[in-house]
Amino acid sequence: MAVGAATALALLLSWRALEDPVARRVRSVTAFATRELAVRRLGGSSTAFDRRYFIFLESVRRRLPPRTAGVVIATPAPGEPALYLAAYTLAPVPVALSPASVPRQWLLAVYGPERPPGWNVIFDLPGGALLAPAPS
Amino acid sequence: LTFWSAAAAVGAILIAVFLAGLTPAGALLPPGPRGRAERAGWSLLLGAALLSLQSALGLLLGFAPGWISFLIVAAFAALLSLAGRRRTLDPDSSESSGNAAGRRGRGILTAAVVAGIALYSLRALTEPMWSNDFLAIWGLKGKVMYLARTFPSRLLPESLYGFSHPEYPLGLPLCFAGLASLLGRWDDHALALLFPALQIATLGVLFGWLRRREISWAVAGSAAALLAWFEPLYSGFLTGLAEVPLAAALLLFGTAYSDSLEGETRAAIRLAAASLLAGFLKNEGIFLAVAGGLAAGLRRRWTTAAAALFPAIAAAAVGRVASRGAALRDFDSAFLGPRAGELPARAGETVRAALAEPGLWGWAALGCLVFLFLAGQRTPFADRLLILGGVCFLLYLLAPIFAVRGPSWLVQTTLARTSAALAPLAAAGLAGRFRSR
Repeated sequence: MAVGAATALALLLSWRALEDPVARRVRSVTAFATRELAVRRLGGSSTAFDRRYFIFLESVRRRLPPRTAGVVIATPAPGEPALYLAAYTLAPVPVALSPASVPRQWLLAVYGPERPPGWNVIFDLPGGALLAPAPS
Repeated sequence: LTFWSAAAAVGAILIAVFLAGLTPAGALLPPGPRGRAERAGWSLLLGAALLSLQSALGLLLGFAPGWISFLIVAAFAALLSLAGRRRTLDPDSSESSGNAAGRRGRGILTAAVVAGIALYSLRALTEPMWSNDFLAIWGLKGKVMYLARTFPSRLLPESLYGFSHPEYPLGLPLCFAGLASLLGRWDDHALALLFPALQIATLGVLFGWLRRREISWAVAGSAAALLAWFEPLYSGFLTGLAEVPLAAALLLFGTAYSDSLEGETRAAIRLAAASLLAGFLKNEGIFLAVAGGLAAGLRRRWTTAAAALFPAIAAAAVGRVASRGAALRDFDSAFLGPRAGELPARAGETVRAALAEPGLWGWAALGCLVFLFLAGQRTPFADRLLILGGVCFLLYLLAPIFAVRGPSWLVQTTLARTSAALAPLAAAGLAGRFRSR
């Protein structure tokens, strides 16, 4: 009975493990291995919901002034995946998704063409812009 | 840097981490060739714990974690281990290689284990760690601690970062931060190599412990091979999350617990170390330590009870201070008070959701485990592991009753993966029931 049960379990585990697209994974690793880390993430699962959004976030990250207190992200499709990807990509800089109120000294990163009043564009970015509060 | 060069660097760092754990593991475990794999597994896990410790010390004392501080912590741990080490004669006879059929069987099982590790490595390293929980919780905190050199609770406002579960233990993020400090940068693709390394360590502890407990090579090797292929735990999705390290820590806890109850020298110290590890990794580790400690206490095995309970409780207390007292977000204690009337309906919903969860594949696999259990013989040292795992599973099944977002939600999002982390414990318990007489 033990050998039969262990064999059946081995078959079940093999079936499940080999259901995974092994050949596609090998192709993906070899194709992306020489690219920079951000490009590898861009081609991966965490950005699949909106790859242009990740390009925007990565551009924000690269343009953030030193000692930025935080960034509010305005996106037309706010949701958990957008929040988690933004929080991780921009870490350790704190992040909130609009319409959260913008704390003082935080910047606003707008994904899309809108430019809210009262804000100055400090960088135009692929897919959006990085803005700072206009001097009052 | 390309992925290959970064992964090679992380591989070299993991070897250094393994070497850092060698002396403590040698001091904590019995000598002899049969336990070699077990000592190797413990070495990596203790080395990773030392790495996390140096990250935590760096954050607390304000120094930059790196090679020098890691070497100091490792040297200190080695000296402490050597001071407490007892010279004992090797109680084991050397392993015989057996006849030709036995050698062939070993070759096949070894190849199966290696194939399982290779497949998991491919799943883990296909792309940078990507699961929502890696981005929102484990990776986020590790990245903050590495780049900002501060605890996440000091930097990320809880009002905005509740999704990152500030109340979760920081063991894994500290380990990420420690690895990144040795690598010199945050590379969430190469750091994923930690997870296949943890799988190898888990398999080593499983195989070595079974061999030390006089389980035949064929049974111990089969258990390791089946676990190596267990995709519900060793998946791309769980890479970057706390389940894989927790599974290793639960196995360390279970095996040390069983050894300690039998009065084995040094097992209580091992148990305390495992309890601390489990408590720093995930709240489920604290559950197991409390369950084990209370069970040992009921049997008046005070040393085992204390070694199981106090380190995990200390880990929980430290975690509470580090998170500035953040409460569990997913659960509502109102179900024990004003909303207690909802409990029967919630229990029913939990059971229905849990029964629907495994699917055909899961039920077939569970059926195989039941047959394996029935085919084995009552063996106290192994049955204890199954009881510990069973108690944990019952706790996981009870928890959704108190879930804020409803029992079905918690069952569907967590039950399969938290239960999968019990697999090494179950593998050790089931294989231990096939002890040759």
